[in-house]
Amino acid sequence: MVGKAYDCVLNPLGAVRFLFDKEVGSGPIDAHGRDWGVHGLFTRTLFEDGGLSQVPEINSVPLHSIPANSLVRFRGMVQDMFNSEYYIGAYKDGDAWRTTKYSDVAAVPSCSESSMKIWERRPLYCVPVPGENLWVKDAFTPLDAQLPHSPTCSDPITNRKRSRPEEEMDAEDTEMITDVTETAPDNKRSCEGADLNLETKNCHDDPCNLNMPLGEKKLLPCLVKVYDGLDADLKLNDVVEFIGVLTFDPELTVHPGTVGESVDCIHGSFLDEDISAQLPASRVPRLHSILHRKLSSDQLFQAMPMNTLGQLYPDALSRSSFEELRSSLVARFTEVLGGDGLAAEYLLLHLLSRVHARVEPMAVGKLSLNIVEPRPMKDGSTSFIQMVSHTISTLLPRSHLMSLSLEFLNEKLIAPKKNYSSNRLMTGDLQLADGTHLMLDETVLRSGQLNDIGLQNVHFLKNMMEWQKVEYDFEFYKMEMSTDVAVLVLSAARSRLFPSDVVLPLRPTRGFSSDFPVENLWRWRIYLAAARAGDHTIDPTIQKVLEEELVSARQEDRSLGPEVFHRWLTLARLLSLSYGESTLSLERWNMVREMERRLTERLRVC
Amino acid sequence: MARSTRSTSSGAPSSARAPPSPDSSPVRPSQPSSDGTEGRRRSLHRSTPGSRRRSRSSGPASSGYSSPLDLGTPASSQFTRGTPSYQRNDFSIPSSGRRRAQPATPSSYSEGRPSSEADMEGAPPTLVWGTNISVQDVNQAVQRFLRNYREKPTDQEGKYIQLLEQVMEMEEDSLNVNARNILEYDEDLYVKMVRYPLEVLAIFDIVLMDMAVRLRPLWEKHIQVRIFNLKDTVNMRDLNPSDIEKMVSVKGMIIRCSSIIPEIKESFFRCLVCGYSPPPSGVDRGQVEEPTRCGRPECAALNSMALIHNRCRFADKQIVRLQETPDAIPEGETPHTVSLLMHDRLVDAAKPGDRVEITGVFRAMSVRVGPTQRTLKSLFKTYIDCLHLKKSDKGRLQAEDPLERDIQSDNYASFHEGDISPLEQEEQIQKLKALSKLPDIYERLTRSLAPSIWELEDIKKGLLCQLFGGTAKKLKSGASFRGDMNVLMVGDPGTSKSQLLQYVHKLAPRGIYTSGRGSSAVGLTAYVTKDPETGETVLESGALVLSDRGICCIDEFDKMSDNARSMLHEVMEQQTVSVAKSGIIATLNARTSVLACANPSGSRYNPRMSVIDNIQLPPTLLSRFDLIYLVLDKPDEQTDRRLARHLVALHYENPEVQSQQSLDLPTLTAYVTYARQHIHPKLSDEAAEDLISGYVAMRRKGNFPGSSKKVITATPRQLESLIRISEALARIRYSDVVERCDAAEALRLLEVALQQSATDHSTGTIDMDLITTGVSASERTRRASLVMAVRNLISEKMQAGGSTMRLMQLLEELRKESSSELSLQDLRTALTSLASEGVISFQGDGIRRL
Repeated sequence: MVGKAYDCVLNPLGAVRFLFDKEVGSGPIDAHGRDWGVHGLFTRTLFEDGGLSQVPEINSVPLHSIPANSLVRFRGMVQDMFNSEYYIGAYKDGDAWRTTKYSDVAAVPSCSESSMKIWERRPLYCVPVPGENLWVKDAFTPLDAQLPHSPTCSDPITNRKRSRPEEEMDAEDTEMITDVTETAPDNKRSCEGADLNLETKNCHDDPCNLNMPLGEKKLLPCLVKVYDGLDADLKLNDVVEFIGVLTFDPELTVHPGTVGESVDCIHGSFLDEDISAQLPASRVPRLHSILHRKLSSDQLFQAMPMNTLGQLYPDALSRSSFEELRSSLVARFTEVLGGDGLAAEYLLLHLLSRVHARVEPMAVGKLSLNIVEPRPMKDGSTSFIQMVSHTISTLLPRSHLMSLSLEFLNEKLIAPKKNYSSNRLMTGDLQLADGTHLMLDETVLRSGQLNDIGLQNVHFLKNMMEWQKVEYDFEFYKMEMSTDVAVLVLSAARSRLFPSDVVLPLRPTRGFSSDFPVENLWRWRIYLAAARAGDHTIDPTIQKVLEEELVSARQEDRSLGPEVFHRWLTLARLLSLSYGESTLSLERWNMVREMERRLTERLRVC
Repeated sequence: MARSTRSTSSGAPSSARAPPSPDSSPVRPSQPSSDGTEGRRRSLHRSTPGSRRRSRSSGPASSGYSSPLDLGTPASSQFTRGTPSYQRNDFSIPSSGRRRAQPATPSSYSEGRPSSEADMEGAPPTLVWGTNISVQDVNQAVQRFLRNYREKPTDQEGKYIQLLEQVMEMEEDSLNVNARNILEYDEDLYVKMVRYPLEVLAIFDIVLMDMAVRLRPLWEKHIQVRIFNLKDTVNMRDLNPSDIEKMVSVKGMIIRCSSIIPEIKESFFRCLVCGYSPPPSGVDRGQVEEPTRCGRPECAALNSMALIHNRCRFADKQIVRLQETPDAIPEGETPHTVSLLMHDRLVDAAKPGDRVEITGVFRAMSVRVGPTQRTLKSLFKTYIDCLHLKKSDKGRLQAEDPLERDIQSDNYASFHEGDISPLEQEEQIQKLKALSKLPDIYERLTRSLAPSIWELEDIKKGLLCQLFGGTAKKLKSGASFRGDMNVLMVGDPGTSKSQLLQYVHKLAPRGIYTSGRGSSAVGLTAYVTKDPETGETVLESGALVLSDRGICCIDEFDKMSDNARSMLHEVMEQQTVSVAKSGIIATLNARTSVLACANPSGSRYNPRMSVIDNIQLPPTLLSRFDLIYLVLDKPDEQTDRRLARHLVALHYENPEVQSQQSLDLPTLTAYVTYARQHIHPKLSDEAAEDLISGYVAMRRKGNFPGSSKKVITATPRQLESLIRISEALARIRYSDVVERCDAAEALRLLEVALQQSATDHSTGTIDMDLITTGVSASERTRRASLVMAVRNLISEKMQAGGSTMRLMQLLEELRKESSSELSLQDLRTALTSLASEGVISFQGDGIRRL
């Protein structure tokens, strides 16, 4: 063939087949179906030749505008991992070998059982990143793909599609699917109400429960199939961007009603491990992943398209700007917190905290913060909580505000639980990706009866705060999953229910300011991400000094226990990082001691 | 039709089957000459790859049932069917049918048959399935193995000949064959069996029937081979397409069982017009072929044949889902599951929640989008055809006494496979034993116990001893001594007591973790409830009963209600719980170790008060603890420095480097399990000497020369504790003998614990009295001398029946005489005791001599 026989973006399967034919020509078929140069080709086209920007993101553009079997992207969190699927990877059609890799169906002739290769792939259920803030979504949406806010909240259309006769959809030539699904550009939470009915209907034990995190309504989840054992580095709750082939074969979905009626139990749901059968293709797109990259919070900015970031990135990382950004951010926090500079410092350090090591059962590096704002619940106080939440959501990529009302706590479990009848992990509000910020609003908690669920939820939250672990219920045993979620508790009095590492009574000197300047936002965001990811070490000499300090402090005050020292050391580390320093200096240590002294004084007055 | 094409395509393999059939022909001397039906059925079976072995195995199997049925007239066979005497015979048919049923399942989806199977087509007749394996060779190898395998060369008869006789004796229908025996005897056969299980197992069955008939010529029941204990257990998530059609062994936990599915094996039709019934026909590919017209030429009525359910033959089938156990799941992953197909006896052999190890054949079948569509879903459903199932519970320390399990049960009977140490386990045992030989194993284990908790070495050592436990003794007289140790930790808040508790709970057999605050008396022991539906009275076990042969961890022991605590008296010494409620008096076993932790009464330990006052627990309960640790936050610069270094290191160094020298949790668990099961140390004479002399020394301590007061330093309970601790220490070393070093360490541990828990603050010596009665001996002598002084004073100053004396007056007098401090409270106590003796009368402020 001359030139490029395929278009990687519009016809990725063509590329796959082309390479496969080349491979077959060169030798016998590999029994396990290893990669035959597809990765290399796509890495080159997408990342080196800049083809990535042409690849549409499932949740940035309406699904109907993407042709089936074309290359798409999906950014999401791995919410559930299923068993490996065995599929006919290659088969002999006449004399020629064909491959079905990266697609769902095969026109395998019935009598060809002698010439078939079984390969393996791993399906993952991915959902839009829980708590992901709008600015991240916007940054990932290429400007040219951003559509005007379309009011198409279209349940009827979705329903119509599901009931469509199957003949219309021939598996092989669904090149253009012009159906409308309910997706639309995502920055339009304004029209949430429209399809609420549909969603709530599905929330319960519906087999095609989409299991969306944190009550997400707008965005689509995605069933991703990963090939060639590339799933090895993927873990539950990882945030990943997948790039692969979008397929659409609605006839593969078993309609919910028919599953139970199946007489032959082998075909029945009990043996049925095929998760795709449960999920309607119109609402859960299928993506056959060719490439993927993990987007942990510090890699997020590198992955963003350049047009949104522009020159900001390298600039924000220079040392001098680090300090400048820090002071402007602290000043900003001081404004938000009503002129309380100490609280602003603590808030900054809290936002930078992450679990950097685990010495079972301890999670070293976490710093939960309890801001105590004792003023009675007038209008001012409610807006204060919203303001803090808003401030955090504009700065961190992922955050979530959880209002701990009795009703919320008693209503449903916030930790994930395995549902064996649908063989899926039912998500809970605590299934969060690492680096998510969680804010607990305790001020709305009134006295009342906590039921069984409520008690468990309180236990889950406490566990998360203390050990950074969430128990996933697998019915026959519980599995503790490590998380890394910074927890900020806002309460009217020191929270006894959720003890935090730092208790901080707020001392505002003026009203809480709500306006938020935009000009520095991007630089602050990058600053926070960079400082958070920073590495930190300690000099042996300083180490000695620290030890002496701790010993003498303890000699003076016997009430200082290990937990206080843990806090000091964590704070010292975070403080250094906030200045962009990779080693601890005595100066920072003394600053921490001073901060702690002021805090202790404040607590004593309380 | 598809049928005809298939049967022609598989013509070659059916001839490949030919050689062994003369081999099996002597097996069935009474075999009725195959009438048309039998032959037809077989040719049908032959049409699918999987049926090849079915046609073979059906030979001996059919000799079981076809003679009464096929020879009899329809009417008579109908009659005999109904009689109970045929019930058992009937029952054996499904089991023989199982062998056929098995391949039938995949064959019904034979489009999706993997290529390994497909390659068999067109193989030369003498060899099997496109490989270089000859049927005759395998047949001979199997025969050699079954006949000649002996566990010990000295054994008279082959192991499996004996087992076969036993099986026949018991009228069982399966023989369990340990795959490791095969491996040991004939590695080639083992490899073939694992790679081509269907075919090799069929040969096994035939050979076995052959042998059975030779043993008892009239034997007609089919005996199946059940292979277990493969060399390698596959991790569920490591199963991959290359394992399809191979024999695999998987461990996991059963999470769901379907209801039992009766699968039709043979269909029986009768003509509604003339009543004619053709002989029962087999079921092909899961589909019953319904005759369209009556087979009797005279009748030949169209569409008159009806299925008679009662005369069809069914086999049990069940689908079970197996899930990975938590220990097999890598961090950050969700558990994998796999479906199992259970047949016959294996149906309902295990229940959800059981941990099992299964051996079976890994299968995959393809799924068609719709029956009419040409496109395949290109997906396969995978499952394991289960051959053998073994229940196991290896996750935690095995609480069961190994002697209580029936070791003999492994080769026949049901599916509880005993533990004839598999090679893998053997390897691990060797590893553990190697560990135990390390000179610093004791320190290493101590380090491994809760590595994140800093210091507290001696407490960890005590907990380690508790985990290992002493040996329980039962005397001929019926008296028994507990081997379980009880440990109490009392200490300041924030000294990681709870963390230690949690850690032990994780590690311990049947660990139960409960908080004293929450648990009522019933929660800790047993609870009687009335079933709301039936009104029956039910005993609900509480924490202590649930932790029988385990460790019951009780946090916040001090917050526990007195009622609950009083229950513990019995538990900790007699190891039983008595429940007397609703007219039921039951004594339940609670052979449990108690690990409790408590805060001092004033939440912080007050060194000025006695230990008893600090702990605020009844002395009777305290004396039942073998080790009482005071976890105190002593102002000691040295410890502070170590704490500081530890914390700084935690925050700034790579924590992995630190823990290099310690054992990980599974190894530690395995180490303890093995010790508890297999090591039962005995006291050596020297060690006994040492313990005795140490005990005597402890008792003698505080017996100052020249002082008349005699402080009791230890009680016999402490001697028992010493023995238990030294036994546990010997167990830690995997030693069957308690050596002198164990005794010395036990003495040291007890001393460390006692020094902390029973330091008499007024004398500084170890004082067991403090624990056993709540008042120290020196305190007691002081009080006694005070009483004496008061008595003397009163007899000096006061006349019997004379005037009263004011209390303050007496105090003044006494203070003049004695040099030591004297409080009004002390005097009142002394006077009360005198009053009780009847020496004085003591009312309000006035004292009168009687």
